[in-house]
Amino acid sequence: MEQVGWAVLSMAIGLGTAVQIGMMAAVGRLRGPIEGAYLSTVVTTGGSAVALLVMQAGVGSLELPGPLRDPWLPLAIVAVSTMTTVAGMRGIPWYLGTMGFIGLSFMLLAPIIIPEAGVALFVAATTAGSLAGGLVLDHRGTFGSEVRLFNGQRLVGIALLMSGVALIAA
Amino acid sequence: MHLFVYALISVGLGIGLAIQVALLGTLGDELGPTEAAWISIILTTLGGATLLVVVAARFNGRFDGPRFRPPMNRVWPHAGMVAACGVAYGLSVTDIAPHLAIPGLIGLTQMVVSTWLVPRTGVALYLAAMTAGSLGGGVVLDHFGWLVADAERLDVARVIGVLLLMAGVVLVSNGDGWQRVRQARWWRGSAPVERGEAAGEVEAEETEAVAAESGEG
Repeated sequence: MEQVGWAVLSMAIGLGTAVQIGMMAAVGRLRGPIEGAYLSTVVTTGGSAVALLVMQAGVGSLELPGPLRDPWLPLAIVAVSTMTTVAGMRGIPWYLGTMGFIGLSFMLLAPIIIPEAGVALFVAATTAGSLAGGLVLDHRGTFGSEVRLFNGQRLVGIALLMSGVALIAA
Repeated sequence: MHLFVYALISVGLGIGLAIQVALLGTLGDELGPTEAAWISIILTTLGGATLLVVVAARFNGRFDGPRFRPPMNRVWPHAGMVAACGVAYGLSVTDIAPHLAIPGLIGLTQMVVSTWLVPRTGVALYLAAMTAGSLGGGVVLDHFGWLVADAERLDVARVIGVLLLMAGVVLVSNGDGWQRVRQARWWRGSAPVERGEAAGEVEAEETEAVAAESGEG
């Protein structure tokens, strides 16, 4: 049943989204909201530039204007992003710098999964994975956040949300 | 119940996400999904770097703006990023309608506000409200046919779905106020960097913070 495979992959992406939000909040506590969001986007941008280079090398045609089809501009973006991330992550636990890769994998995998499995399955599975991940992250207080224990009311709320998602997406 | 105010803000962010996804979908139909994602993310980084330059420029004299360690708390790395991303973005959007070129700004707003807000609400509440906002916004966009290819009218199932989403957000936002048992602890090993401090003072404060934690922990 390959639909189950796509569903599991989408749930993993949703879980990654929850983890990325937890990491951004941790950097936000340590540095500030703009700095936290910026460190995440910089890594995602560098990864996007690498994806552009790979697509140029493999596919051979890109619907972007001429200067971007030469490798030097995306390479410059990759270099600047790497230096910015390395310099900006000084003084912060290093693994918090990987949050941008999670957003990057979401961006790259969504156009692959949606034609295969349908938008409804993708949205529902991603939402389920992210909400479940959010509940677990809050319960354990990961990345230095406040502990918000998992209780019946939260579970019922999440169940209502998932029913709403199923009704809308189906 | 101020958690509910944060939930309302997150619903607004979700509506913005629905608009951003609709715009990116239209752009992706024209150019391809990777190119659309590239245009969105390069504008998000450009906007973020511009915000940091603005923050740095407010503290003229000591350049203690962005709360990074040196050299990132000065203006020039972020100005360089603005230049690089500005060139890339300007080259990328020469043939694109303006309303299709700006979804990155929506993404930037969402990321900055969420990074400010999630420490106050926890991840689950933020995600629940974002989901409600994005799906509810998607239903409205589909109904009126704004920004989407084929309109899908409201029907009973979708209306009930939106009501269920709203009920879920209310329950999740109300459900943990009286069970928080530990206050937030600063992540071990790094003290927060305050504005207006030199690197040497930060080192001393870190040692103090770690000593205080191990003293009371």
